[in-house]
Amino acid sequence: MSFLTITYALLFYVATALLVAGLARKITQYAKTPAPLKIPTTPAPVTRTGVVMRMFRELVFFESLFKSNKWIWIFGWMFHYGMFLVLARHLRYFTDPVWTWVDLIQPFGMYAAFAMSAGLLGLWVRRLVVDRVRYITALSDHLMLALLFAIAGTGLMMDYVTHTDIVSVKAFFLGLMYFDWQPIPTNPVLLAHLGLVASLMIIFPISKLLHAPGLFFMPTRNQVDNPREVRHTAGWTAE
Amino acid sequence: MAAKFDTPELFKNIEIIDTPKYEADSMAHSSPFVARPAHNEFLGFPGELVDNWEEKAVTRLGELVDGSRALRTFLDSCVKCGACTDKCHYYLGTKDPLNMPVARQDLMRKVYRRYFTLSGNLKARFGDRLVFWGGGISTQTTLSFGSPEEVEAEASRNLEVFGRDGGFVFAPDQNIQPTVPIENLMALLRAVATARGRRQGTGV
Repeated sequence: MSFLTITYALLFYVATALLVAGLARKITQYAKTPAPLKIPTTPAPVTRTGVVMRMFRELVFFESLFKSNKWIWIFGWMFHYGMFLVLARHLRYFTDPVWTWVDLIQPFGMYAAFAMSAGLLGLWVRRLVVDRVRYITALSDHLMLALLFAIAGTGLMMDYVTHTDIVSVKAFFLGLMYFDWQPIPTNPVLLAHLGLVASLMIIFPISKLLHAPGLFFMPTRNQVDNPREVRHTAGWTAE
Repeated sequence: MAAKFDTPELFKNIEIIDTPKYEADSMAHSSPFVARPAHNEFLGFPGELVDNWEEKAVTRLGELVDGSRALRTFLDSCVKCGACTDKCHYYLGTKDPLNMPVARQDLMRKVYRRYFTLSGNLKARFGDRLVFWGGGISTQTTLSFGSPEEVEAEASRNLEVFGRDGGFVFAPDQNIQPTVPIENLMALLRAVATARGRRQGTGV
């Protein structure tokens, strides 16, 4: 077992543990914090079913962002759904035998990688050229984009510049999952890709990427607009 | 069911203005209209700004975050996409970038991140359970090259921050270099003695 394999194996165990524990902590915190007031952003659905529909549209189409700003919506949606397809495509490295639907989306996953990168670049250009967005942009916002773009870039490089031994990559990750470690290929682009992914996993629960779980807990989106029909109390309004 | 109502037609007789380019500090000349002390006291508030208002404000922010899911999720989740930057009519009117909703939130988020997140202030989170050690004065800058007054000021500030709610083992952040002026070392000791006297109520 090489030093490199041990390092990366431990890195991924630690990153996974931090990601899962950090997200669990945050989600528990969100669930436990009371929402004392009825504050859905109007016009809001007046039934539970309506709220489920609203959350669905928010999640799948980014509805409120679409109403708010078309450019951010185009780039943001491209990036997120590109990344979603790319992640789904990567399931083939973690399943054996590969699920049929994962097999079917393989070619689309490649286009998605370009859509994801284009979306990221669009969002980045906005941060540089729109004066208001530049004003609110902190260094960490640039670093987050750089990290995601580097992950997409190194991923694409392994398809278009230097191929890596993906059979060994799959063996490495299956080995991690079944606690039967296998050697990791020493392709530098692959190592960079995996190192960046691990750092993304580590910073996820302490960064603005928390908008992923946060979205489900936002009272302005997930509340039913029925303050007169049902008395709402929680937290200090229940005292 | 909620009452039936007709949504008013938007933008009917309204001219939509172009979003202005921001002008930093365009509202710097303006300040809050402070109520008279007598009026505040009548309502049960302190008449003037209290001495430890920063500490009180941070404590209160903690209570607000713990008591409001909306506040907590929004403070954690904002990705600074910029979609809200052209929406506030105060911004459109004043061109002050701090009136953009995200920038306004950021004023609060900075305090939140410093005091209430893992990456923030360890002392604020664990100060009542842990004793802190070191970091009392910067040996590379202030202690070696600052004036005695600067040394005393920095050490006093660190003593106040680290010493609150529990023990603090005072020490510089690195070894004291041979070139450090003796006046600076005296100032350092003075700051420690003053802080110790204050804690023991002797008022050295």
